[in-house]
Amino acid sequence: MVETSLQQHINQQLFEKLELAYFCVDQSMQIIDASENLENYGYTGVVVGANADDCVDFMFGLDAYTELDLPMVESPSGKKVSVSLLPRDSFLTVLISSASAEADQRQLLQQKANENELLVEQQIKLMKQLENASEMLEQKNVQLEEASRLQTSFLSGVSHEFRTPLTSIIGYTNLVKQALQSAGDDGSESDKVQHIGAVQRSSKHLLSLVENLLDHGKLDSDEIIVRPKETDLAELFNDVELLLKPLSDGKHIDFIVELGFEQPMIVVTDDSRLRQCLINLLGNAIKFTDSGSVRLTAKLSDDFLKVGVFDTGPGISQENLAKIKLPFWQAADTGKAGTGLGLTITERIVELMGGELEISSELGCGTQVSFEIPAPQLDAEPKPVESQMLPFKQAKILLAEDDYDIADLIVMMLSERGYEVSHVDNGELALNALENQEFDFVLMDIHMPIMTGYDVLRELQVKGIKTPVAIMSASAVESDRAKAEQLGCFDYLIKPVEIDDVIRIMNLAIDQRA
Amino acid sequence: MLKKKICMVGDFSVGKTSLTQKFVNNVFSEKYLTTIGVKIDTAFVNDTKLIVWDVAGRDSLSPINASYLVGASGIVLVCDGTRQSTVLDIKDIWQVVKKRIGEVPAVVALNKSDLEDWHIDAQQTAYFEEQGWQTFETSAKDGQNVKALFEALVSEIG
Amino acid sequence: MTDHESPQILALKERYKSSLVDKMQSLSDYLIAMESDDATLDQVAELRGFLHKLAGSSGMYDYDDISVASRKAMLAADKVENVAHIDELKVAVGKVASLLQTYC
Repeated sequence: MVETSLQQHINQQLFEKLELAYFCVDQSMQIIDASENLENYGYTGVVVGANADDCVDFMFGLDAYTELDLPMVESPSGKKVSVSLLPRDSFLTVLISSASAEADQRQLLQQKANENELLVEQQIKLMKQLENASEMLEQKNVQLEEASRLQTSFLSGVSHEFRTPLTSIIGYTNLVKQALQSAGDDGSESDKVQHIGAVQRSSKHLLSLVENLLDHGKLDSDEIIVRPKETDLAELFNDVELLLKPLSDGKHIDFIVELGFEQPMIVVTDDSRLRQCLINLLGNAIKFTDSGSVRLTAKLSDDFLKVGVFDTGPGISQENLAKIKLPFWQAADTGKAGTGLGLTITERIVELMGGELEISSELGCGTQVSFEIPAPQLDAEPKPVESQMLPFKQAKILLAEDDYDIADLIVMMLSERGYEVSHVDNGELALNALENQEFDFVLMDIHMPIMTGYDVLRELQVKGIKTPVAIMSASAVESDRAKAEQLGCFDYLIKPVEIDDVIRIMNLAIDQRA
Repeated sequence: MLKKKICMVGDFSVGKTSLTQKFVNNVFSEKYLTTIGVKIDTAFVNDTKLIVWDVAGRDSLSPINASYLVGASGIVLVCDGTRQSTVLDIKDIWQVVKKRIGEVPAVVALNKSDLEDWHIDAQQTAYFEEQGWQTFETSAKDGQNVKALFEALVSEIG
Repeated sequence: MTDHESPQILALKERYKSSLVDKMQSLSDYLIAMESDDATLDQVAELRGFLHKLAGSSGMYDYDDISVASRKAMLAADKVENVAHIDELKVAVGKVASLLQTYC
């Protein structure tokens, strides 16, 4: 009996500890027994004789034969309970115990876990969106680059279209000027000569602006080419002075040019690039100076040309000095017109010519721009710069060139100058012609069908034919030049060739032969 | 009076509790509180009393506890229209349901239709059509299609 | 070539300008050939020859940009050792073609 009472005691303890409640139903779900503490969980009306389907929500739909565990069911009291359905022979016991502690713990953990997982999902989604966005940006970038390229191409295209007629204007005015000069040796036409000179200078100025635009398209792509050749510096600086004097006169400021050399001063430099730089720098200086002076200095020492441009303009703040070389940048408050390209391009050209553009300035104290570039001096033998001045020597020329685009142009230009030109379009024909006819000079391409220019040179050496041959090639590779020279060519010209260069070399060759 | 047990099932955080609460008590809370175990509510559709078992969502660690499904006459499959994975997971969840209680009538709630981040297209919901389930774009927040969803299930149950 | 220009020379320039379309077409043909799996080094050499000519003639006709771009493409062609690695060449040739297009 003691044991029974102990057992009962333990059971009682357990019941209380687990807050155990129960009820039993028969097979028709009628309640046949129920603990009193069911009400603690909010289950009311669970009394003998009632139908469990009606008074206990979770019982609906269940049957009296199936064993079932329903963990963590929220009871009407709000407490979580564990429900166990334990079928016996003729009835079903439903045990209900508190699961609050476990549920609270689970709640915390599960909440954290789920929130974490949501966060991860969100992150993945965000990453995807970022990826998409960066892809789109990339596409946009490509489009922008394309647009910029098109704009640049358009600019180059338009500038190119301008350049051809402009050069034509300059050429024709030159002819008119010469005609006037020879017609009016007595000075009667000197007014007209001056006027024509003004037209010519303005055209050249316009040309230089067009060149700036053309060059802008090349800034990014290292395509600005500098072609050094013999140039009379004194003449170039005088030219620039004449070109810009009207601008400074128009603003009533002094334009002072101080040259440390006299005419003629022949050096090797790219005259048109140097002219472009000077016009850009002086143009800027004059544009921004409203009173005082603009001074241009140039001197040569040890084969270096040092150029300075000084103005008494408003000067540039330190802040703007940093931005001034950027393309299209213009000080906002100056109200001066222009493309904003000049300085950017000048800096690049000076760099390509082997120098560095230095700018120093202070607000209210004017601006100084200077650069120094290599300009190796030649013997001061006056060299005609204008092509019309090149001495004409009667000559019979053989042109060997398989590209008719080039051949026709060269033939035309040389014939217009009065030369007799024969054209062949392969090396074999060139060799035949040289074997059978007398020529004063040969202008020959390297890459030709049947026999290359090299082959022809080799054969000429073998056959002892000494007609001077200038090779033309689009290849600027030094080894190609060396090969041609080794095979006895008179000179090696890189395509595109300037017709004046051809004539100059030809004159030299003819002189040497004579 | 007719009485039917139905179960809300789906991945965690798709809005099973929100839909149930909107339907039963017409309330909505933005706060996410994960359901542990199951919560049982009752509501009426016309003269049918629904015992709604709002079952804890499936997550990567715990599957749906199929014991809760016993005795259900219909299932509301809930997924989140802003989370594709929850739509695809319906297929797995349905296998669990089918195994335990057979092919009972079901309807689908594509929940959270009020959010902009909607990611559902016809390809993803093709499975629902194959199964012949009525599918509703629902919002527990603004109540869109909530009533229609439960009414449709009741009429499917017959 | 900044001298005055006779009608004959202007006509030649015009002729050259109208030939740019064909040159562009040829380049794109080369590019298409390069895309194919059986592109050969011979084709690269042929393309290089074409670029060489173009570099010379375009410069003669004052298309400095085309000339420079062609020359660059030539250099890219020189670097080709294996037809599987000609991306640089393709880019350079594409650049020439697009320049040509702006004048067409």
